[in-house]
Amino acid sequence: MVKRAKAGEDAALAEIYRHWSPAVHGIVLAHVGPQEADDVTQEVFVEVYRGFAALLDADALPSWIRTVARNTAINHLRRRKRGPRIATMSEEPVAKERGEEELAERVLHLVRSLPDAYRESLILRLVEGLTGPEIAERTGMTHGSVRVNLTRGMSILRPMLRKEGWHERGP
Amino acid sequence: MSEDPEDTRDYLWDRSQPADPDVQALEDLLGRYSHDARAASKHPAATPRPRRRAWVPLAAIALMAIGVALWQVGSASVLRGIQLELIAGQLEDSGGEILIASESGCKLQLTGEDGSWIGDLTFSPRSRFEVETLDRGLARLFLGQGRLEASISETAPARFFQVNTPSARCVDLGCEYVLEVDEQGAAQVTVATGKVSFGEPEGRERYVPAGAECKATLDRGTGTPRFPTGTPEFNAILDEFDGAVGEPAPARRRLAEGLSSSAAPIDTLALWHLLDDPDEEVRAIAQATLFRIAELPPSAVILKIVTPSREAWREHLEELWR
Repeated sequence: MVKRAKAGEDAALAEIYRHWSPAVHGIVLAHVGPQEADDVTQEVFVEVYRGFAALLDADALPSWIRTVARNTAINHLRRRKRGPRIATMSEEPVAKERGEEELAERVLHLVRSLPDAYRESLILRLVEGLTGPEIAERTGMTHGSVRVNLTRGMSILRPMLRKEGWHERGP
Repeated sequence: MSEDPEDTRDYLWDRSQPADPDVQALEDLLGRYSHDARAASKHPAATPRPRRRAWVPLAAIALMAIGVALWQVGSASVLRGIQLELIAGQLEDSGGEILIASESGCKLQLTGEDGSWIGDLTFSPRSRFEVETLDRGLARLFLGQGRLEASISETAPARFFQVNTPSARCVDLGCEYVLEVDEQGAAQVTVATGKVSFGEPEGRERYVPAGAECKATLDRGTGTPRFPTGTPEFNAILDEFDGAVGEPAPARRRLAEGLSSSAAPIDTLALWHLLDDPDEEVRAIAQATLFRIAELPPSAVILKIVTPSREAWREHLEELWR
């Protein structure tokens, strides 16, 4: 597939997009808001398509795409001259009666406030719906690294949610 | 949930049962932000026709009956520091809301709190309008009938100056334009410089750049913007297409095919607007035609791979509209 993509074959490029777009979107979402994530994801693929010719090692594709995604998201933030939105702990508990949209926003903010490695893996798992093995395959990380990121990320996130009033069995 | 990095049998890792309730609840809650969920939600839905404001012709009779006062040059309406001042011609003020330009027409000037110029509004003779809102953040008029030439400063915030008509709202995005409303409430905007947004306030907005025009009627709603210098055959079919509101889908699709076969690069403005048509097949025809006739740069390859947003298309097509 990589060879065909390097040759500029549209079908191969489409296949790469289909396979990697959830992972790219998740990595981008770890840095920018949901409203901007779609556009930034497209920017990532423009960069990926431009850079294919220079990619020497097909095995490096996942980690290369991950790097491009991160860099594109960070550059986007720099252009906006604002830092990434980091949630602050709210004194207001997450009420069961609150609208679900608002709840989702607040929980996403909490996830995005986690350390880089944990928040990326958790967003790929909880938002994009990728399993641990899929995250490893799409990002070039080892199974062990992904496992640690998910486990430790959830261990930090759970008490944050409880403090916000999240009930043990969900909202 | 296991914290053992070697234990690969749990829901967080690969959805192995039993499910972790917290993780499952988070998946359900946050899945709306996923790439696939957002791609699925981008299907444009037909928007309901908004209630239209009816122009009340009886108001003219009322004006004659009560005797109207006249605005003289120098008269001004000031609210929250934004001033709308009559600088030429005369204006009949009923003492109510409706203002009527005199037989010689009139010109008003909009200025900011600091006296800075925001825009000039020239009304043709006997034009009828109202000032709906005059605020730091918004200046909105209602043009019931007549002709308005608006010249708005490039430094005014986009969308600050708006004009409602019986059939559409015209929103300034930094420009000069002419807006005409006839006795039936039909409106047409022609943009000289810059661009406007034109359409039903709660419905689909049309993007009208310099050199383009767009019409709206009470019964058919807002039409499709086009360049009057565009392909004559294309524009004729486009008029039919705009008139086919409520027609069966096959009829509209045949017209869309006609647009496709007659289109030239200058017609991509109209085709771009069809990218959010309620009919999926019309959207597909429009997109296929754009790929065929628009000379896109290499970086536009992304448009072939993903389902692009209209904004992504516009970024690539705007060069053709200058």
